[in-house]
Amino acid sequence: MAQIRLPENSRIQPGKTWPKPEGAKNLTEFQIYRWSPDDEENPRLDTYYVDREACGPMVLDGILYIKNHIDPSLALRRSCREGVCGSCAMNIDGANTLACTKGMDEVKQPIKIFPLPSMPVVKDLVPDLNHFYAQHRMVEPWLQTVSPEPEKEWLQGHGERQQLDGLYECILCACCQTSCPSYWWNGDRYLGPAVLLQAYRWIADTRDEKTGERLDRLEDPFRLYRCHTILNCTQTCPKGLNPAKAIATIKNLITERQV
Amino acid sequence: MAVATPPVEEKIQPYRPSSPRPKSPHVTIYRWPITMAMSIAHRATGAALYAGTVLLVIYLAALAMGEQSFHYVQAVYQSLIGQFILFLYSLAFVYHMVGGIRHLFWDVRPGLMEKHCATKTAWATIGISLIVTIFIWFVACTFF
Repeated sequence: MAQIRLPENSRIQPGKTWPKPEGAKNLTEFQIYRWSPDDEENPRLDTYYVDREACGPMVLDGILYIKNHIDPSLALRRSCREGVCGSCAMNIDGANTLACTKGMDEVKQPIKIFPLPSMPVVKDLVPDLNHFYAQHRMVEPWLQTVSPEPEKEWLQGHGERQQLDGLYECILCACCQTSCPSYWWNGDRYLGPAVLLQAYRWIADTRDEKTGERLDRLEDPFRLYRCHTILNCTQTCPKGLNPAKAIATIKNLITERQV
Repeated sequence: MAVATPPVEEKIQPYRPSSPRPKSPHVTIYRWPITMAMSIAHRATGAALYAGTVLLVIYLAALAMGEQSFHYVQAVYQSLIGQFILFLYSLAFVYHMVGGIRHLFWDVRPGLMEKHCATKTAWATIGISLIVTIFIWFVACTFF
């Protein structure tokens, strides 16, 4: 059942304001969600000031400046710093995106940062993605065949390969997954946009021979049909992909095989 | 000679934070894209149409019950508040219909869900609904 209000222990309290870096002229204000498992406090929103002369242009650069110079206890995930690993997915200025590819000047000031929405928080900006990964496992995201294995690789024509464009680029950052109100309310049973895009990636693959079974697994009022074309997924994807279209195509394939 | 003790099978203790994990904020911190607002409005107008149908039933029932009750309902509906509610009812009706047509297009061509296209059709739906509703009221007020 949809729970719109946050549970008691999740409501955000006002936080503290950290001192401005000394001698800095060009400052950008950050308001960042903080929560630590080591005390009994509720989450809070802390204010930091970043010296723009002393760091790079991206939101991730700003957060790392805070971690390196102001508050080393701030926790976040990051790795590649160029939009290919998906680790630094978070809610910046009200939309889910990658901190490493979002410029500080592209968003409204002060820059408000929260962890990915409607997820259990491990610490600060680090959400627990176990359930998302379990759902991903459920769609069996690997090539499945029945015909005898070829001597070398499974071949694919140029046009057949093109059908995977817009699908294979997904980095599983969970931006779309956690932007979806349907997933906020029914995330326990609805597979969500990222997982359904991955499911479609294998349905669309001409080398895969288990399309029927894949569709069977998805044909469920919750797993697939909680998508109500709200389109937050497509609006927010930092890689410019279109999960809503993939989901609509799965729905069409299920309808087509019934007639 | 001392025999090396076999490695003890270490059991990994599941991590237990002192306080249960909070849930990160969602609808209150998310900047609503127009497509999300449209989706919510589509549901809200759908629900409002049920209430609007009751208005219609009251009107017909009053008509069936006779002249006096009909004049009474007519007076209520013709009052300023009555007219305002009827305007909202007609707007909800037209909006839900135009939005429904938008959904039909999506069913046939999922490619139209591309984000810039979806944003444009969202605004177009609002515009078309307002224009059609105002047109209906213009015609109604001029000719009836």
